[in-house]
Amino acid sequence: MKKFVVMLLALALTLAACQPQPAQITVSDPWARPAGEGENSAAFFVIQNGTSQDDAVVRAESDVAAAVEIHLSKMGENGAMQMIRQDKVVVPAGGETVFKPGSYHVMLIGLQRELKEGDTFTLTLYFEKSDPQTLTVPVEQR
Amino acid sequence: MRARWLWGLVTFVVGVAVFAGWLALRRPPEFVGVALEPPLPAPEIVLQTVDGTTFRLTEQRGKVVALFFGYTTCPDVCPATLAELRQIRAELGAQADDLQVVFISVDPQRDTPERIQEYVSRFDPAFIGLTGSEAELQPIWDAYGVFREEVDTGSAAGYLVNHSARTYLIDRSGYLRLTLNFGTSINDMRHDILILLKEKMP
Repeated sequence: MKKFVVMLLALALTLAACQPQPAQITVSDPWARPAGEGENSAAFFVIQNGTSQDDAVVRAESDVAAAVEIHLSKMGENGAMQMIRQDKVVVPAGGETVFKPGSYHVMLIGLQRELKEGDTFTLTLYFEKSDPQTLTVPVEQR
Repeated sequence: MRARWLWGLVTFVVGVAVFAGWLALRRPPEFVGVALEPPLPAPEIVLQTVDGTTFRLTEQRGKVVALFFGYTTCPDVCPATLAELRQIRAELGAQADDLQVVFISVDPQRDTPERIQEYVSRFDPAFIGLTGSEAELQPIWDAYGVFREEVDTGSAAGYLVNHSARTYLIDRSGYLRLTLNFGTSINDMRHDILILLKEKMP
């Protein structure tokens, strides 16, 4: 009886492990900071790559800003924080890349309208291999 | 014989515990941030505010001041710090007015007094945003060891300003006590700010 239970458990675990992951790119938890018309803001999110190949974000677009660029904030050797424009941001196969304050972010330059807490706008991310994804981004104080 | 040995041990353990407690009590609480030893009077800052009054750092005595240097074109690092200070101030409740956040420009060419005050007010209307001419700001940057460097990266945002992104904490008596590096967790920031808020004016 005990043996049977152990076997059943092992079978269940094996099945759970074999559960196929959706082979795709998923973007979750998008948000952006409030900012005034004409000012700049930044959008953040988490990208998960469920495919078996590395992929990369190569471009972002939104009609909420005059220009949209991908940047990385990082500490320079001189101790100053700097922003470096990114041509692409890799999302490793089976892994994730987090866009977050003080790191990767989508820079929204020259906002066409004020972004107030509770507002939303759309942002489209373009990938090297996968299809583009359009997100609804809520404006939040975080 | 055995009892005497036991009593000796008990006395010893109690003694050590009392001594450790006394040490812990007399030692001032430790900052997570980078403490200035010894603390120095914070260099004076005199700048015009958006409503035409003169801001003097020395007039903030009695409050704890969190000072940050940044610029309004900055979409990530400056807002990240201001958002954390906003949250900490919001949690202080009735004591919130004892914490004054001051944001000073590293980009006098683009930051007008109106623009910088509007920028910080979006986080908290009680924050003070200040700018001036480069001639007015340079001695302040120098006094606080602020590094700034304009770089043209070809971004649609125009030139960017690489800048040191420390938060300076000044106590109620006007002494610069410590700095918090960018990336310090909000819990550690709160911890150090609360230590300064608990101190009384001498």
